[in-house]
Amino acid sequence: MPVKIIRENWSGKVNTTSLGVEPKAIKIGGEGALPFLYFEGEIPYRPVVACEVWDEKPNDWPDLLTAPFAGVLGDPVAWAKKCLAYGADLICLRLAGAHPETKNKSPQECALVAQRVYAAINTPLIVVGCGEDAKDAAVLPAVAKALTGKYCLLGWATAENYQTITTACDIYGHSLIASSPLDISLAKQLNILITEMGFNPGSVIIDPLVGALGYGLEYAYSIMERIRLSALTGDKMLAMPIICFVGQETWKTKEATSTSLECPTWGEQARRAILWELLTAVTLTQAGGTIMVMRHPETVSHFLAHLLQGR
Amino acid sequence: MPLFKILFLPDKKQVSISEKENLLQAARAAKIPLKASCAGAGVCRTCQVKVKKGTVRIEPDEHQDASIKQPDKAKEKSGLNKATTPYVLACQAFPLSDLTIEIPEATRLTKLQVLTYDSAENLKACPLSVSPSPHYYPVYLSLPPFSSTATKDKLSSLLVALKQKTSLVPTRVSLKALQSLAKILRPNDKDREITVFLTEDTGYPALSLEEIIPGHFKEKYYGLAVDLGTTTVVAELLELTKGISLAVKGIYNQQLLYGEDVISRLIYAQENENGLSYLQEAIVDTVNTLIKELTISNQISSSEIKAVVCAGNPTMTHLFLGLDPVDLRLKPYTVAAHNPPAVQAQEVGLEIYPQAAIKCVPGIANYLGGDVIAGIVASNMTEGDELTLFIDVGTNGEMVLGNKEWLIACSCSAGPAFEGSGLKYGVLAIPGAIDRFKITSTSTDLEVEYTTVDHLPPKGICGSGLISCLANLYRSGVIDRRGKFILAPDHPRLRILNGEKELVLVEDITISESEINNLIRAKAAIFAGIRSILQFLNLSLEVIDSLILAGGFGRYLNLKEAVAIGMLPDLPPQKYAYAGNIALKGAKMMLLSAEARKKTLEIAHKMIYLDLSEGNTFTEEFLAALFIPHTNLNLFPSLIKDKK
Repeated sequence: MPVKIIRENWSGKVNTTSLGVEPKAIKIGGEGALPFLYFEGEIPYRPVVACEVWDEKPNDWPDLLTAPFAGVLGDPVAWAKKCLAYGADLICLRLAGAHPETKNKSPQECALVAQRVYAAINTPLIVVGCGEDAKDAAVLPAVAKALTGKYCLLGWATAENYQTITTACDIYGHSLIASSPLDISLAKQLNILITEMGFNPGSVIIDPLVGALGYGLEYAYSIMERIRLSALTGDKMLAMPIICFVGQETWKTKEATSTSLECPTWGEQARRAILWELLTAVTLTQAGGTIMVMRHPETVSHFLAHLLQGR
Repeated sequence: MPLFKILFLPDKKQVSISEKENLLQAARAAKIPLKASCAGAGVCRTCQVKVKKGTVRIEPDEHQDASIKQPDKAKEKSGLNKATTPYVLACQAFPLSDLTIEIPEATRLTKLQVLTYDSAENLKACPLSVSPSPHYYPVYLSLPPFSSTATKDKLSSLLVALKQKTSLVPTRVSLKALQSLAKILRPNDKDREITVFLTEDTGYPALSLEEIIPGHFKEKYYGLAVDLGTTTVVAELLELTKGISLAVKGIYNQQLLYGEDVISRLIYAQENENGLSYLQEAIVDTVNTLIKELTISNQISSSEIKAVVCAGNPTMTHLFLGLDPVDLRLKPYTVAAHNPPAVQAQEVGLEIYPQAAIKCVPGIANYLGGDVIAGIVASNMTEGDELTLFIDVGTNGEMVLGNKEWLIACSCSAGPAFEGSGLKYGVLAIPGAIDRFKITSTSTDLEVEYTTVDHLPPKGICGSGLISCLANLYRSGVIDRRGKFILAPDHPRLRILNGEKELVLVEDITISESEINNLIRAKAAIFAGIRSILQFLNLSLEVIDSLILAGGFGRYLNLKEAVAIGMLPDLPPQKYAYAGNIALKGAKMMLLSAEARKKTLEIAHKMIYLDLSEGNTFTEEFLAALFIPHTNLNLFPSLIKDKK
C-alpha cells in the first residue's frame, strides 16, 4: 500500500525581496512552506550568508576570529573583498565607529565608507549602524542617500527611530531591517508602524534579535517559527523574511571566546567556537531564518556546504 | 516637644501639631480632605497648599520642585530647608512656627458626583422581591400559658414555639435577649405575645436570636446597603418591613488621605505603626458620616438601623473589618476569609444599633471581591442562556463572563491611570475635570476643544477625558500606534520637561509620553483580561451577546473612543449596557432578599477564578494590546472600515 504523504496547505506566503543590482542581485523569501519542507510548497530561494565587515578594527574579537582577516581589519574595502573570497553571498557592513562612545563618526564619514565598500565589491550590501537608536537615525539617511539605486538593506530601524530611517529608505529605494526584542507582537507592531508610513512591506526584513546556542536559542527559535507560521496562515504584517545576526550573538559567548588553554576540558577552541556559530546558524535556518549574518569564514563554508548538500 | 497652632483657611479650622508632623497630617486632624494620591510620599504633588503666615521646614526630597526647595547653603548646613515660595506640598512641610495655611480649591477633594444605579442604561433590571426578607428579621410568636407544674423554662417554650412556627432552631441566643426574656415573660402575664429578632448569616449555619421584645412588633426598622468603594462610598437607607428605599448618599472614602489606590493603602497599612487601625477608622468614619447624614435627613434614630450589607473589593472589606490585609499582597496570598461571617455593628464601630448584623458580600479571590459578586447578582446575567461579559473598570479591571450555566472571572491590574492617579493632571470626575476632547491637527498647530464636568474652568483630566484624549491624539496624528509623539520636534505644543517630551493640551494642562504609555498599559490590561478569559475557553469575541459596563465610567464613557483605543471589544453598541453603581444595587438586593443572598453564595461557589498571573497567555495578550488599538488590527473591524 502506498504511503500517502500528508501535506499542509498554507494560504499565505513570505514576501520576496530583491537586494542589489543585476546581474548580482539576490532574491530571498517567497517561501510558501515551512523551511526545507520542499514537498509542501514553493521554496524558490535558499537562505543566504552575509559576512560581517566593520568600518573600524574590532577590539573585542578573539584571536581565532581576527586571524582569517589578518591585514584587512580596519580596511573595510579589503575586508569585504576577503569575505567574498571566503564565499559570502553578500556583505554586512557594520558602522561600529559611529557609536557616540567610540569614534562618534559623522553621518558623512559613514556614508563615504559605505559608498567605497559598495563600489569595490558591486555585491548586494547590508549596512547596519552602531545600534544606538538616535545615532543610527542620523547616520542611515546619509548612507541611504550615498547608496542611491543600489537596493541595499539598511538597519536597524527600531520602535524608537523607525520614522527617519523608513523615510530615508523609501526615498532612496532601499530595504530596511525592522528590529524588535524577541517578541512576536513587538515585531508585528513595528512592521505595522513602518508600512503605515507608506513603506512597501516587501522591502522590510525582520530582525527578531536572536540568541546563540545556550543563550536563548530555543526562545528565538519559537518566536521565529511563530512568525513564519503567521506568515503562512496569511498574516501580511509578519510575512517578511527574517535576518539573524548569528555571528554577533555567538562571538560574545564564553564558549566561543575562551581559548583552549583557558578551558581545556571544553576541547579545542577553533572547533568549539566554529561549531557554536554553525549550530546556531543551522538551527535558526530551520526556524525560518533567511539571511544569516556570520563572522568566521570557516563557519560560512560549513554552513553553505550544509545548505547545498540537500539540493 | 512644642506644639504649633495651624489655622486652615478658608475653613477657619485650627489644630495643633508638633514639628514632627506635616501639614497633610494637620489637615487630616482638622478633617479637611486634601488630595494626596501618593499617600504623602511627596511624589504626586497634588497636596499643594499656600503658607500665608509662619515658616515651614521642607523635607529634603528629590521630588520637590527646585523652585520650592532652593535651600541656601547656610540653611542646608543647619538642616533647615525653609520654603522660599508660599506654595508647599503639605505632605513634605513641617511647622517651624504657628502657621496660617490657605488651601487652594484645586488641592481640596471636592464635591462628588455620586454614581448610583439610576444611571443605568440599556440594562435589563433584576426585579426586587416583593416582600422583604432581610438577614435581621422579626418573628412574631404567641406562647402557650405557663403551668407551674411543668418543668419547662421560658426559653424552652420560646424555642418550641419558634420551631413550630418557622422550623428554625437558633444556634445562639444573645445575653441581651435572655435578659429581656427574664423581664418580659412573667408566669402570670396574660399577654404572651412576643417578637424575636433573628440574624442569619449567608453561608454559615449560624442563626442568632438577638433581641426579644414584648408584643407584636409593628414598628419600622431600617437597613443600610453600602458600596465600599476605593474612591467613593455610597450608602442607601431602606425601611426593612416594606423594603422601601428612603435615600442614597455618597461621599469620598476618607482613606483617600492614605493613598488613592488599594495598593498604596495596603502598603500604608503594612509600613506604618497603627496603619491598619487608621485605615479602618477612616472607612468606618466615612460610613458613620453617611449614616449621620441619612438618619438626620430622614428623621430616624440611628439605633433603628439593624441590618447592613456592604459590598467592597477584598481590600476594602479587609480594612473595613480591621483584618490585616498583608496577605493580599504577599505570598502565598492566603487571606483570612473570602466570605467573612456577619459581625455586629459595635465590633466594627458603626454607630447604629450595637447588635445590628453587618454582612459583607462574599468574594471569591484576593482581587475579586464582594463588589463584583454583588454586581453579578444584580445584573441578571445568571438568569438566561445568553453569554454576558461583565466589566468593572477601576484600578483593577474585573471581568466576569458567563450565563446561567457557568461563570468565569478574572481580575487584572489596570493601574489607577483612569482614575486620574499617577498623571500630573489626572483627576477624578470632579467639577472642572475635562471629560471629553476633540483634537484636530492643523498645518502648524493643534486645535484642542474640550468639555468639562459642570462646565467649569479646566482643572485636570478625568478617566473618560483621558480615553478621549488618547483616541484623539492618535486620530489626529500626534502619536503613533505605540503612543510615541510623532510631531515635528519643534512643534509649538511639544516641550521637553526633565528630559521627557510632553504635549500642551489646554493652558497649563499637559500630557507626557510616559503618561500616554501609562494609559496604553491600563487599556491593554483590560483588553488582555477580556481576551485571556475568552482564550481560556477557546471562544471568540463575537460569541458575547451582551456586555455590561459597571463602575465609575458608566455613561460618561464614550464607547466609540474606548473601542478606538482598543480598551473595549469592537462589538455593536447595542450589545453594551451601562450598569452604573451596580454593586450598590446588589448590596440592596442582598439586604432585602433571602433569595438574593442565597444566589450570591451560589454565584460565588459557581464562579471559576482565572488567575492571570499563572501561565503566559495574559502577558502575551498584554504585549499585543500595547498598541492602538491592537497588534491584531483585525480584532477591530469597524476601525478598519472607518479608515477606508
